[in-house]
Amino acid sequence: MHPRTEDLLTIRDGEPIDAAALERARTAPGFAVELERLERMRRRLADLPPLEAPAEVWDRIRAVGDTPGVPRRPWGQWLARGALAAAVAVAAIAYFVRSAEVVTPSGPPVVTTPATIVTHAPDVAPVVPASYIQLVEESERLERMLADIPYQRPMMSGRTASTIVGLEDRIAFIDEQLTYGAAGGLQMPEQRALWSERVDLMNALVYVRLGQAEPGGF
Amino acid sequence: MPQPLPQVDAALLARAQRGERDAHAELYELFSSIVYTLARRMLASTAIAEDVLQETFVEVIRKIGSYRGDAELGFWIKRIAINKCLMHLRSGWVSRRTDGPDLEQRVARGERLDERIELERALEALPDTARAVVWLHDVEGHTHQEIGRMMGYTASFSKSQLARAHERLRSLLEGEPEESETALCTPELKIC
Repeated sequence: MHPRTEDLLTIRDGEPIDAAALERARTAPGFAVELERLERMRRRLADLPPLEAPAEVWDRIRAVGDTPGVPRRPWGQWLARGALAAAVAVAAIAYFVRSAEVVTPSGPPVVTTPATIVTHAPDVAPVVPASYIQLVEESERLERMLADIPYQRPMMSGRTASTIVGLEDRIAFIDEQLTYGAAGGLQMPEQRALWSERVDLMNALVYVRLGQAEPGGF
Repeated sequence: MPQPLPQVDAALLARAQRGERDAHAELYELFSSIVYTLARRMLASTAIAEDVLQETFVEVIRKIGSYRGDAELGFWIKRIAINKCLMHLRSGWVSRRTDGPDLEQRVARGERLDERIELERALEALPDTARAVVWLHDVEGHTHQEIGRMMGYTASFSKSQLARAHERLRSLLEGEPEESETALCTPELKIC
């Protein structure tokens, strides 16, 4: 039996691996060859040459700063309005989530019942509370739901655009906190609070996107 | 190795933080190729990579006044760029892109279709999520934990996407079948 690619990559990257899986991989035919192939692929990817940025992009960036009415994303104005709209959307979603557990926008229903807990043993230390796992899983579910929304109009109302930009920026900010915070020893309660806010924001984003995807939506 | 990050001296940073246009242009000069390469490799779309480049530097200019130097400036800029890339992946528009004759144009210009170009083509042929994961992990050096957090998934999701990406790359480059147990698409998750 050939070694599993996931096990080989774990070994290649020097990550912790279950002793049985390690033994199974090492004794499989072609182990060394496969490992070398994966290492070579990593080197080849890393050796791909850098690409030169198109010159005209800087002109576009300058134009954003020069003409406040023209830019694709008039950041200051949009963000101020976006933050307000996002706060309203989050509050509305939170209200619906807590009172009915099901949000029914004009599109398909957004079911907010927590996903089934699946414990990924290698990733989740036993001290991680179930509520934390639920939040991560719910966040995943909402990401999938968002990716699955079939149609998003390139043209949308200013209010919708503001809301989406505000939500996306806040999600990006939280993701940054989670990434750097974890490296800096962010405690579980803080991580949980961030994931909780992320789920609320994702809920709001799905809600807005679903409304936007509807024919005649906002 | 990803492109080495240029060092930014304190004087340039201070000028950029004061809002001096020339300093912003210098930062663009230093980091635009890094950001564009990252976006182009992750998203496999010239047009969207240009958008990411623009959005990244608009944000860099907007936020540089609040940059405190906790992370190296290059990492900070890259992090903004990665977030922009992930936003585009999340929006679903990347998979609907229609451009991509880049490689064909290069071949038409007489560039040799060598192993490197084959690899670029195979990378572009990967599903969006798998391509982003393999680039962030194997080239940018992010851990599965970090990638999971950035993408809103778990570390094990990142691991399985990396394995699938490598299986698919192998299949594309060597014509070998992928392992059936880790077929690239996960229909129930609608992740392809």
